[in-house]
Amino acid sequence: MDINQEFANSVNDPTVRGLMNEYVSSRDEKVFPCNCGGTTTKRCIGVLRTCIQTNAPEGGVYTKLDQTGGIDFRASHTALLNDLNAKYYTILNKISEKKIFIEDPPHPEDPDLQVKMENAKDEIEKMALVLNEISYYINQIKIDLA
Amino acid sequence: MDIDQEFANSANDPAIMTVINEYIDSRDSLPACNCSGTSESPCSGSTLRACRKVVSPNGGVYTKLDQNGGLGSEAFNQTVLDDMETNYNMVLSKITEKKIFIENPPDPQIPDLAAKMLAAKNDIDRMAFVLEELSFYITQLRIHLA
Repeated sequence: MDINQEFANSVNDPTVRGLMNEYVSSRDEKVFPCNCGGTTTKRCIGVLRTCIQTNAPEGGVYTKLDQTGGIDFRASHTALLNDLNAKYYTILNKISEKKIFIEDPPHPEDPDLQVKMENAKDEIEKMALVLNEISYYINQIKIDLA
Repeated sequence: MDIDQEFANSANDPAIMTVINEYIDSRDSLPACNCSGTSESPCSGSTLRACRKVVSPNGGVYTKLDQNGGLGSEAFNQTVLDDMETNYNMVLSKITEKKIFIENPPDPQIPDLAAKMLAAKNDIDRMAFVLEELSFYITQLRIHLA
């Protein structure tokens, strides 16, 4: 599935929620759909935002060979790649922060510690799913720009 | 599916076969994580090498929280991550090389150019699948080491 706002808003930490929503907005605004509908040879992912096809052109990976896939403007793709890379590492840092909290809680006597730790674990799992999706798009764009 | 040797050896270019097989060696050095046995733990691929599970511990993403997932030492995982990042960049370079060949063939007069270009396109698509899988494992390892 594509990460969506509902998924982002199910996170407890408002900062993490903000990061996820920023990613969703950025993706929906900047990642082009490619032309992968209509034939059985094309396996589309999610909402046709990207598609994987064995034989280019039309769809397939985001390569310069796929001129009919709605891909254009190397500059905008480079900007998008930089943007996604930044988001990837911001979320990875957040995961690191949450792991430190779990492994070495700042206030071990906090009566709500157990709940807070469960929330942190849940957030790590959700951020991991977001990272997986971001890395998919990063790949496609890197291939396009290769 | 996990990329396997059969997939690697179906590449047209022997250099690409080697690059993909080197990736498989890196990946297969990773321990399986413990994600079998419950309905809420869908495993990725067929070998239980990585699994996506909403609730840790036992499998889930490769985090330090998942102590019983059969993960090796931090140093070992760092080495595998380094190897995989090298594999990733090598595959991406090969994609660039193939794209340059297609877009600007060195000898446009050779009689089997069309066949060679098609083979190059197939190799690009094949390598794109490898990059997708590689980036999944890279992300899991980065999360584990975060």
